[in-house]
Amino acid sequence: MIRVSLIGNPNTGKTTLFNTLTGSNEHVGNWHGVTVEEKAKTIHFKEQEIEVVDLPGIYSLSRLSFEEKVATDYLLSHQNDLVINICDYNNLQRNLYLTLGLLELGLKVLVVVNQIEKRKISQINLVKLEEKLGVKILSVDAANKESVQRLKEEIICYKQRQCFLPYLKFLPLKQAFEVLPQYLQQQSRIFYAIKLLEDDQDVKEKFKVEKNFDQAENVAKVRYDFIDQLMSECGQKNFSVYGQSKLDKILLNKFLAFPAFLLILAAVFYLTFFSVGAFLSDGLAFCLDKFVSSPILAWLDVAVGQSSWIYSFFETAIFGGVGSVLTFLPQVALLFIFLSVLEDSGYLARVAFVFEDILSKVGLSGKSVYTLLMGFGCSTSAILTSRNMEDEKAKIKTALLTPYMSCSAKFPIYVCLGGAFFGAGNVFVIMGLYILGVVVAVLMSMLFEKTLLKSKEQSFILEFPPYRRVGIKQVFKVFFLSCKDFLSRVGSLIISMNIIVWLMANFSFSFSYVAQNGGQSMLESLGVVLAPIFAPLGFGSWGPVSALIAGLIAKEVILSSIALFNNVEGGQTQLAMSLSDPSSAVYFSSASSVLSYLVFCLLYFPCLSSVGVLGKEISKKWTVFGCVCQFVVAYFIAMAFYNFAVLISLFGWWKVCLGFAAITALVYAIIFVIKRCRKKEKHCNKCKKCCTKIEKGE
Amino acid sequence: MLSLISCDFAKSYKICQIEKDCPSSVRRRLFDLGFTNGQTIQKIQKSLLGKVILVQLRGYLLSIRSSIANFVVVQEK
Repeated sequence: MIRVSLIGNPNTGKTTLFNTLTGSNEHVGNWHGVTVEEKAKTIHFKEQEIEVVDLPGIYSLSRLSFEEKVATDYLLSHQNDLVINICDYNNLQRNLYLTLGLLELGLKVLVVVNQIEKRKISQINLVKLEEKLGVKILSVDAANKESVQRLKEEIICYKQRQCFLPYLKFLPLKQAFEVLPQYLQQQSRIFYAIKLLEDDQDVKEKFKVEKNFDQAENVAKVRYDFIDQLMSECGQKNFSVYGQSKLDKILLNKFLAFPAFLLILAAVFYLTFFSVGAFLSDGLAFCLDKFVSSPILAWLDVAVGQSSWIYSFFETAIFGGVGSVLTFLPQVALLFIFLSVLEDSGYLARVAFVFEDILSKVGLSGKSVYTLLMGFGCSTSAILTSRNMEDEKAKIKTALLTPYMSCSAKFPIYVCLGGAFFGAGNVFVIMGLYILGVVVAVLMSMLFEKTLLKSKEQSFILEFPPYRRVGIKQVFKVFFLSCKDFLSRVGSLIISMNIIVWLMANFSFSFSYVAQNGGQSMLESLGVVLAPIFAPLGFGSWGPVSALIAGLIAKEVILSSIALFNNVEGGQTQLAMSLSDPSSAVYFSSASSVLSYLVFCLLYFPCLSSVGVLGKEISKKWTVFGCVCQFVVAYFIAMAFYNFAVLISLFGWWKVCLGFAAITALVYAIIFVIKRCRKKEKHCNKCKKCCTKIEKGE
Repeated sequence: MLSLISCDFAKSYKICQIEKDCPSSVRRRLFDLGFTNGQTIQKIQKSLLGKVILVQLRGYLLSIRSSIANFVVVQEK
């Protein structure tokens, strides 16, 4: 078996190459650090087994960031038959820096130059470069199967050549060799000696070396000088700067950047949730009802009769519950497509740049934008992306805040419940809920920053990827993947949850069928116990509360259980009507209680799979803390919303607003007076003369 | 001799050194990315509050925090 690792700078197309090589569907994006863990797959080619490992993108083997640790440790601890170093044609200078690092480590290296862009911004003679560097260089289009086929041939018959690293003679390697133990092999000796010259803390501890060489600058300089020399010998010419674009004049402009971002985001949400998405979703609901549920139910009616539990099971648990979630498939798929287009086009890296200022004020980093935006799609996969952040505390904060973003599973709840009570105004309610999630996340982040999770000054060094046109192929791929993911979730988790919820809602603890024999179902008796807790929030009956309990597993289940409790078969309109019917289990007496219910749904708990991922990413302690926090926050915010709405309905808009303004003014006045008094005290005790020093904190 | 923060936009500078009081991990990262002595560098843009700047060196773009850019000492070409 041949073991092959793929390594290269971030965003050079390693995963694209991995996918083409192995025929897999790993997530690719135009953003650095999409791959955060090594991934392996075995392929067969010409009766040979080749194991391909995709490593995260790195700039050097310095082991400073998480990705570098993963990749370097993998290279050091595993026997590799071949390392494929993938380089970006348009940015060879910096890419070759990593190549030199790999050669210093004595690995068998095959350099693959990826031609991602059709439009070349630089020119270089690769044949000459191959000769000068002494390493086989192959030019490949990572997305093209035929082109990758040549690479496979090359992998099988690869022979190491003599490579030259003439710059090593400019380094005082001898001094470093003296302090290294004798048992090291020749090549790893060179690697560790260079690490010692760079004053690498880990290597120093490993070999118990205390001496400071202070050569880091020199090491980088001789490597880059060598590369520059290679480049000029191979006739490299640059036509323009990698990653620069005229679009940046607008999208990075001081004044236009924010409006542009909001406009793009608004367009995405409008297209997904209201115009195109809503149309497709209605169409799907119609088709499902017409061609699937109605014929089957009609047949069941004849076969077993309407009063049987089998009929009720199909009507409510399958068609009512699962069907109501299934109709949102087009919208979820659209949202994922738009998010992936934003990512692939290279815009998200710009967003990180634009938002860095503001987010660092609230204790997050520009890189959080990516994770939080992905949170609108699915928090589980979004939390995974928080891993490429350097500062541990900022990472914990970002991961904990991701569930506050309103994920695509919560959207159906807003549409159905909100639509029933707010009518046309529901658009604004939904928008408000999305904004509320962001606002709460920001406030929580500020709170964390002030108390438990104060983040360090982060380095924030981010490369700007070039803008890329997103291919139709990629869009289709995302579409199919998100559909597959959604359908398999509906097919496994949501169906089984719905069956359990249906059983608990229709059978009592003594296992008798409630609809025929009467009595309290299991969920009802549970819900009745817990319901009083939620009475101050405006929905203190067993139905809504039981739906929330079921929703702990996955948010999609909330809507399907409501449909199930209310005995609704298919159709969002019927579900909406049943909500304002006092005889049904899930009944909302007023718009204010629905509003509070929606707010609570938005914030109350991350779904089970998110909890699992959180536990893995940021330790169990923080996960428990985050979940408790979310519940408390959701409880009080929903209560505030409910009571505020009730007050408005009692006294009218302007009276309530006036009252609140008066109370706030009063509170501020009190705080102001207290501060004033304190300042005076300090002033008198210390210097009795000047207060400028105190203000500066001296 | 001035820091990367205080230099003008769209004018080419030469890197003189990275100051020693810069944390060693950040320093090494900068070296890895090509902030070596004598390298030509250009400031392209700064963010709204000026906490991050966008620079161009070795034919590519990079955004770095101003607090780090402060350690980069440059000289007019």
